[in-house]
Amino acid sequence: MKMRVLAIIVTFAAAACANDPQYVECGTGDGSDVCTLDSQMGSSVGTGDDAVFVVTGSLHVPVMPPDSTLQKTTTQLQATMPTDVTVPVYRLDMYDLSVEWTLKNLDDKPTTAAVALNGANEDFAWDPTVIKPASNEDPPPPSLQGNIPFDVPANGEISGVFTEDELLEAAIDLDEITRGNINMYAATLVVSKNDQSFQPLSAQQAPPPDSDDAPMQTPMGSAVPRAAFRQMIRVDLAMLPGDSSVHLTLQFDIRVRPQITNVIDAMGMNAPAAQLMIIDPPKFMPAYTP
Amino acid sequence: MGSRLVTIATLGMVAARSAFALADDLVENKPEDRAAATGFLAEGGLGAVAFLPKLNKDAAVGPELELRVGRDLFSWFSLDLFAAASTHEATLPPPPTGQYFQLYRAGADGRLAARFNTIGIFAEGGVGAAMVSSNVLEPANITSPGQRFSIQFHAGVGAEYQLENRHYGIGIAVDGFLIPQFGEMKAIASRIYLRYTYGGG
Repeated sequence: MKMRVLAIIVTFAAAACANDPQYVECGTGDGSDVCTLDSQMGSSVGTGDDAVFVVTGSLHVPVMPPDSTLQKTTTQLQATMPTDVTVPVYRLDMYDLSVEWTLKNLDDKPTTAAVALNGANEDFAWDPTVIKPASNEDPPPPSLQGNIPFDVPANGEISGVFTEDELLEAAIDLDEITRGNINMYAATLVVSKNDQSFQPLSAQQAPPPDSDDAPMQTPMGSAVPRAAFRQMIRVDLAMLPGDSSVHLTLQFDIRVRPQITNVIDAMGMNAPAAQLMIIDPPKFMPAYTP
Repeated sequence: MGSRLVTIATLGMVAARSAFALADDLVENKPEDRAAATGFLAEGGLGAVAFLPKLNKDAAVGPELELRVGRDLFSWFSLDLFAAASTHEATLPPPPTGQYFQLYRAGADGRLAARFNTIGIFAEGGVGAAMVSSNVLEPANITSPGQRFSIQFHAGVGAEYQLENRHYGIGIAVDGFLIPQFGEMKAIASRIYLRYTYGGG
């Protein structure tokens, strides 16, 4: 009886602490992470009217390599899925993410700027700057969140946050675009955060020579249930100054709220390398961009 | 009819006897000579925790709940176990902004008390452990990566008013505490409390 009471107390204590937030900043875990962006380090991407001045930085989520418990859970979940649906190691229900940022204008000249959020899951990264639309009249590839210009006063400071809901939406959109071949504009414009599944489609293809319309995409394979949605394991932030001559800095961190105890390292990105799972997947390139 | 009269008379005598007994037991608990129970005790308090420099610019004043159980070893000395929780806004330079953290403290302390009729004064001090709920203060070098726990020391003074019921006392207390491993965090914790003592001695 005493052991049972003790077990209940320990379980409740562990559960109570499980989703306390953890604030992740750049650390020794990955030297390539950048948490402070400086407009003086920016560069122009694209050509002609599509050229944008941008500074980017990435910060990994300090996920731990899957232990035996996590592997067992993944295997058990995989057994409940259709055979053509792969259950990822790092899933939506394991942790919640949000990103806090502060932008400073170091000059005495007002300007505009935008902050855009992209990122990566364990299989693909999303970088809209490497995707070229089919024609110059097409809108630029979308960021997963943000990229809305705002005024920055002279010598001013603006703070903002990409909320847990926005990161949830971004993670699902990224999975829909990369695993489901869902059109990137549709995926980012439709609210998917409450979806219980999505249906993968056939790859987008270029229109045939005698037509301007791309072939219809058809459903392909089984629908992917929410339990198998991929969570983001890296956050990429882009600062887009309206005027590249104004000196701006952007500082950001990730707020992680683990829902289970064995997925996020308590030392964050300062944990020893062996305790972290640093994943930098390839950038996703759609077969055809409408 | 006769047996009913006997029953009524018997009940009447029992009731009258009980009333006399209660009157005998009733002792007027005058303010100039107010009795206070000693023995096992429980205490609940509400208050606030304010951090001292340098930490006060990184964490705001926050409300605190404190619970205690203990035992009066003598009328002038008691040993207590306590648990306290307070919540604070992190006010360090952004990011982050608008974030809160909780500070949990638990441990044991001793209390030396002196009473002057209804008013008592006391000094207390002890040692325990502290836990912070998140690493939001890490950018200010208050906690290190992965660090959530520290030893803590505290000491303080207070005053207590003994209610007419000798089991109850209400009071105010002000403690200072030091948490060395959280960047030598220093703070003042003040509370008002209600104390119940089970014993009759």
